[in-house]
Amino acid sequence: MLGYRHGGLAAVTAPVERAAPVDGGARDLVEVDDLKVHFPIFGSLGRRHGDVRAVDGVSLRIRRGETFGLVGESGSGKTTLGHAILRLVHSTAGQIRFDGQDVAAVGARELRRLRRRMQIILQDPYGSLDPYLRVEAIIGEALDIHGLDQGPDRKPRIAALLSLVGLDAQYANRFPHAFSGGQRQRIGIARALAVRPEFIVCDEPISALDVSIQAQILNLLLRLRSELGLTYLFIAHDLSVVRHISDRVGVMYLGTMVEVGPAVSIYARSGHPYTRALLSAIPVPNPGAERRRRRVILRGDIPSPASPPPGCRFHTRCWLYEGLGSPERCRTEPPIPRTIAPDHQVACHFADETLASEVGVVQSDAPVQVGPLPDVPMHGAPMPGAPMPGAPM
Amino acid sequence: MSVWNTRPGPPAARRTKLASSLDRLGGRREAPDRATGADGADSKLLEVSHLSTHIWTRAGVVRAVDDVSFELDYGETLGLVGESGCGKSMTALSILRLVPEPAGRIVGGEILFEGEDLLHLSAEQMRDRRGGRIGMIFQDPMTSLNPVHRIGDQIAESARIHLGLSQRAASDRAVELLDKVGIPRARDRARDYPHQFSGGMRQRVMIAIALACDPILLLADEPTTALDVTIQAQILELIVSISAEFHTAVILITHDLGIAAGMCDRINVMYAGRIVESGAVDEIFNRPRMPYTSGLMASIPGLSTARGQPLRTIEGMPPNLIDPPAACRFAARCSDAREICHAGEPELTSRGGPDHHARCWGTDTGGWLP
Repeated sequence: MLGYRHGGLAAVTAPVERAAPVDGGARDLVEVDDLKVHFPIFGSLGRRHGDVRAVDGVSLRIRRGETFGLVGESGSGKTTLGHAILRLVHSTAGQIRFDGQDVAAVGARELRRLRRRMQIILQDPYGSLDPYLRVEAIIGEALDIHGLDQGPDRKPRIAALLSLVGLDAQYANRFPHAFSGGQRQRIGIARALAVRPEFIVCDEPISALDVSIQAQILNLLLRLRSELGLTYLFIAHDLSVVRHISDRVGVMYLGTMVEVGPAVSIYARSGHPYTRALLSAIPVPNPGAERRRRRVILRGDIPSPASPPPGCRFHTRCWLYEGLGSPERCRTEPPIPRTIAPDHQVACHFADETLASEVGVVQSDAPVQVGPLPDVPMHGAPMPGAPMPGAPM
Repeated sequence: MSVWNTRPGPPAARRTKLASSLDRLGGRREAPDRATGADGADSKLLEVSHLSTHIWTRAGVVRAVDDVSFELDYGETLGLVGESGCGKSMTALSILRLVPEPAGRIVGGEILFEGEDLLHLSAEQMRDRRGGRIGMIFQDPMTSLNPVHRIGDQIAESARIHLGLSQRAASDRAVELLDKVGIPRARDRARDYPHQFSGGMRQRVMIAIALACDPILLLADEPTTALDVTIQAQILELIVSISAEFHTAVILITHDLGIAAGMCDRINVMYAGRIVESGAVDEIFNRPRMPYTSGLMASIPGLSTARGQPLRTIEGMPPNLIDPPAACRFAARCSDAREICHAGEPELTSRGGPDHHARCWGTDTGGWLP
């Protein structure tokens, strides 16, 4: 099925020559500094009641050629962050630079030029393809907008893109309804690749697909990354998938980045209680491990981003906070990110205590550490959310 | 509404059931006598045999559920696992007799629930079982609740209709159930409307409604698919603790093998309208005897798989169920298929392990697969 292997296509699909970065290659492809994206809340009579602080002071770097995984619950601001980098939403404060250019400041003409270099793959393959357009038009639209591969080059280019994503070039004349979810997602990927981008935001690209199809799309994304030298921002809520594809991982909670680090380090030695809770919540397809496992189950829902809790935003649901006897610091002082391992930052006052605990630790041989709950409750408080004895979960 | 209140059976029996359910609420419940069936012996809670459900479409008749048989014990949790379109939800809808008519119809088989064939009940009797002895939780908590009724009233409605409670007793029961499923300030929150609840809270409300009448069987169709992983863990923990406490049997429909591994006693793997493998959860996960099952397992990135390496995939797509091949339905996608697989369909036969059955020529006696 994979026509991309045949010669000839290489010329069509190879990435265009990249302009040398401004300062000789040291610069990261995407630089985000203290980014804030707030959405106003209007009441009746158009009065402004406040803001939803979807992204509230996030800094991050995405290096050339790497895959940066972004995880967090819904409402944590991960999609908004992805959209802000592409300037699909306006930022309220802070800076976003793509290859050194300030994304928020560029004019319309320059923005279009930038957008050719950065694309997005959307979550819902049923909602993101226009049902009235043929596949050829869906993919070709991006080419027309940017004036690429026009005239006699257009058809072969579209055919090449289709085979690149593992679809028969014959399908160019069909409408989206003729395709399954996985095939539609391939079309969405072909559309994103049409303009030969360097950077792609993958916004939950496989969450809407069936299990066996998820693996196909994940493999496709991995292959395209190495063949075309792409850089991904991979947004997902499935931590096992993010671990599989990412070089570095950022964990978001309520508009802030609570932990950033190399994927290996995050999954093996996370220093944030929220990350630990997320890891311990992943169901593992191994009945034995599932039975032995002790989970920390977070109580309640993510608070409203319109009025985030003071201090550390996670303290209202934090198992460590309760275990430590509710230290005042967590309620009053927002934690500053600090480095706990090479390239690994954590925003938690008690990262050392988290590191000392066994909750949600992932080891390479056993799927998930099943050891005892942490010894952190120094004040004798019972661990919150510990599952009842005997219950398999 | 009056027809809903007409209940079969003598009033005395009704009072006993009500009393026992009220006892349970007060925590005075005796040890469950449900471990054995109503007539002692080893009768099963649910016996589905040769169930077939077809759907009539413009393109032809889709055999959504094709000759499916399985059993469920009292207090047992059974997982129905498979991808979309494999017939797992349609199986659950058939048990509830909620197959969308006239397009869909149960065309054959038998569904024995507590010894009576659900397919031979009148519509009225069936309404009484549904939401009464059989509770149900659906996937989407956003659309399963009525937006214009208070949460408490929606829970109380079920208790009023099925248990014949008074308005006030039903309201009290609703508050107790909300408390039971972990809604804080239950008495206040019972007066709220669904839009005032988050997704996880709404799913808790759905569970409260399902529990309102003290069901003996709970059908949960992808109960956590619409939820975040942290909320999913909360809901699954709740279902487990409730089924343990009330000794409720659960049929859990899911596409997530991790959830099935953690929740279920036994698993039925479905593919293209058929059960292709069934057995105890450890058997299925540790010794899968059907290439589809092992393929599914290999295609999920785990927390211990090699990062960045291509995953094993199952190429292709499930067959069209309008005209399924007269062969193993997985053969076209199976990398281990031989000539025999394309020639005829294997039966669901024993694989030695406790209650372990598989539908595969390759792993059958004299087969070529381990």
